Amino acid sequence: MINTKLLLASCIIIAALFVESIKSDEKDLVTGSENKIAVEKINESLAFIEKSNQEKLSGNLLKSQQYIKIAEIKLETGQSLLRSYLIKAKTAELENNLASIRSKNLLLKEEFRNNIAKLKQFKDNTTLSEELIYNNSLNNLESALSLINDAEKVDATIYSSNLLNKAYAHYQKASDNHNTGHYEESATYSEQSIEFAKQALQQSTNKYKEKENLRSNLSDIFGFTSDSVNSSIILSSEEVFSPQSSSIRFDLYPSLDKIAGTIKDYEDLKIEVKLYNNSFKSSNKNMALSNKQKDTIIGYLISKGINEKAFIEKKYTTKEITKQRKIEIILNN
Amino acid sequence: MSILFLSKLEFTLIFLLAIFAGLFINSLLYAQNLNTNHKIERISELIEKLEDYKQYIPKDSLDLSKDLVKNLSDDTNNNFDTKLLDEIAKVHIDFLNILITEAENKIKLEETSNKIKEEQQKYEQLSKYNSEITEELKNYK
Repeated sequence: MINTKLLLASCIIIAALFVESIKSDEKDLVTGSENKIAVEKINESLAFIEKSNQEKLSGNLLKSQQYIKIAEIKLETGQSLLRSYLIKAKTAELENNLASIRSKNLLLKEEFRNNIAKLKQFKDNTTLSEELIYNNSLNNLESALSLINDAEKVDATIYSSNLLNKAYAHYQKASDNHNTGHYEESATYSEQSIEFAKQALQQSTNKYKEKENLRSNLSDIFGFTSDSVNSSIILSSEEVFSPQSSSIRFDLYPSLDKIAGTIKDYEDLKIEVKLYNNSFKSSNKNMALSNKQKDTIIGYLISKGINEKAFIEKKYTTKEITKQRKIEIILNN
Repeated sequence: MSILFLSKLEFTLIFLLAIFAGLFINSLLYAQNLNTNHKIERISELIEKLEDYKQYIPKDSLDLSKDLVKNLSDDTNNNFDTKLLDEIAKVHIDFLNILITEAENKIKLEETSNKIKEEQQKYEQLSKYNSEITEELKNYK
């Protein structure tokens, strides 16, 4: 009994080894070189056909049929192997192409990345440059406006109106260009505006200082009050003449002397003398008195060294000259 | 004649040996049959697997294979030469494996071909973008 079991176990082991050998055969066949194996299979097929014929001649038809089947399968196997061989060859060719395209793609990607980096750099630089232009435009605008304001503070509207107008006109153009995004043009106009504003400021500052200096010197004169209106200094007095008289009051001579002494150094000064009277009922009489008093004053000031050409002669209406009794010496620089 | 001269022990030994020899031959035949049946099962499995790949293999080959396995089962029951039947089963398994390999190779070919198309599309798209950027770069030079 024991020996029978041993024998049976041996047979099972042999059967298992058979199965394993079949599996390993399958693997060899699949991984082998298809075209060579295909030829082998076809040759084997031919050999089996030969065997089939021999069996047929021997009258063994069943065996002959079985050999034919084997031959047929081997032939199909050979054909399949040949197809596989061709497919593999085609696949290998395509894989080469794929590798080539991938390689090209890599190069193109690299170029693309470089171009993107360059573009970004350019855009960053441009943005930076645009920012600089914008800031420059804005700064110039602010500078121009500041200078115009400074010039206005020293009466540039009076002393350098032409230059100030040019400065303002250029500022306006600069502002318009800035608002429409034309920053470079705006900066150029602003620079021109600054130049005009500077000139206006320079001119006006001199005149303004001169006027302020003159006003300071004439601020404390007996019998006169001084007032500054635009570019003019107005010296007013109601006491220079007695009512209905054209003679200067003796106590006011020192005051007129001081005025003459002060203004005779200002060669560019224009002097206007205005006399107002309302002592008479008649307007004509008042006007006649005013003209007489004016001549007296002008004559006296000329006698004190003031250039005759500095006086401005103006005709006044009766109504103007008689509204109030007073004298006004208007100084324009 | 001579058997009469054998002792009881000798006779018993010879008898047992004959029984064992019979059993051994029987076992071999059983193993052969077992092996062929196992191969037929394997063939069925492979055909089932081939059904998934049928678009990649010639229809005639699959039909032939189906006919063969059917005939093989019939022949097994019709006292054909078992050794040859086993050989048929073996070459059939080889054939089916080769067909599967062929199908797998075709799949690989198809996949490679598709990958080439994808890469070509990528290349064309990348070329387009690149030329657009190159044009844009000209504005900054």
